[in-house]
Amino acid sequence: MNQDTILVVDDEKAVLQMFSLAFSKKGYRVRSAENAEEALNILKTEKIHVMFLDLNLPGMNGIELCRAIRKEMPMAILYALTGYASLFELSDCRDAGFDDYYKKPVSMSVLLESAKVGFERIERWRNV
Amino acid sequence: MTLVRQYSKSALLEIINALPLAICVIDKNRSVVLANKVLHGFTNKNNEPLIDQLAGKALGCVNHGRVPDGCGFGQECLKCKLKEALTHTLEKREPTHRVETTMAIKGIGVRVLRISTQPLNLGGKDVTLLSIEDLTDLRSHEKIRLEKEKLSAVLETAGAVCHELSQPLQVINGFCDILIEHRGMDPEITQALDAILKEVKRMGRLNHDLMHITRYETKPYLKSKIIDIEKSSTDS
Repeated sequence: MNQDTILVVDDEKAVLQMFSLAFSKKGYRVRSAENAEEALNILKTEKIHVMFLDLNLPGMNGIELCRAIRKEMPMAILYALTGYASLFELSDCRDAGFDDYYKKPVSMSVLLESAKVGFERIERWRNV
Repeated sequence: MTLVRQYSKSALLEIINALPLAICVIDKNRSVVLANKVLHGFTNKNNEPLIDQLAGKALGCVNHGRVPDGCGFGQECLKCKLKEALTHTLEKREPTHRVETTMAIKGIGVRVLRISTQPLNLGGKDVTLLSIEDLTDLRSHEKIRLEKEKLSAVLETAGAVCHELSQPLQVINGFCDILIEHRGMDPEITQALDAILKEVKRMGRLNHDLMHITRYETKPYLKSKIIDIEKSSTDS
């Protein structure tokens, strides 16, 4: 059983619940946070390498959260999720250090594939 | 009772030439007696004398030449607010203020005009002073500004709607994906889930179009009109 951990950050409980179920059914361990502060607290105590962050978070937004995480964890795989996409937002995401960007609604098969690719990349980097 | 001032031709011409509006003086036969420089520019007849021409012809009204009985007697003239204002002042010796109308002018096109009339006495004869403001550019800019304001309101609403809709769409989409992976599911349920996913994708596309609205285009809806999301989006 795969026990790689994924962190999902979204301010909506229903979204977190769905992501937790979908990822855990594929064998991942899922940690979820409703805001940036909660996410940073989790990362203080746990090593998580693959994360899905919603951009529109209360308080510190997803871009700022990504910057904060990237500063401490340059090798983490960070995926942005957004409900309101624009080219400007996409360039901001790249600038903040996101690895990829998904516009909601996105199929779970796409996100599961991204998680798989993310962990494979981390594994490959471990063996460099 | 309106006070009717007396002027000499030269004094009045001096005054109206100093004003920024298109101004002419019309006699009781509806012929132009005096015209200022702005009126010549307005009618695009800088080198053509306007004096003694009927008002409609002098102003370049496209309906002027079409009427067999002459200016002021055609079908179109019945609706002409300029004629109405002039007739009122010529007959009643009362002014009219800032009447808005449109006029199709030869070689220029349809213009939006604001006209005022004032009874005067010119060298002992009753005449009417007609002043014309061309509001065409102003109205056109107002229309553009209004469209921009509407678009801005639409964009703000669309942004909020997109964000709010994307969350439940993601939840439905995700749970359907989870359910569809269940082995041994009743084929009818699988079919129903496929149908839900298809509709979620459709709503997702609609949301995408909403996010890319750049213009304000409408379509008729019952007795009203609504924004045409597809036509208003950059991706259309």
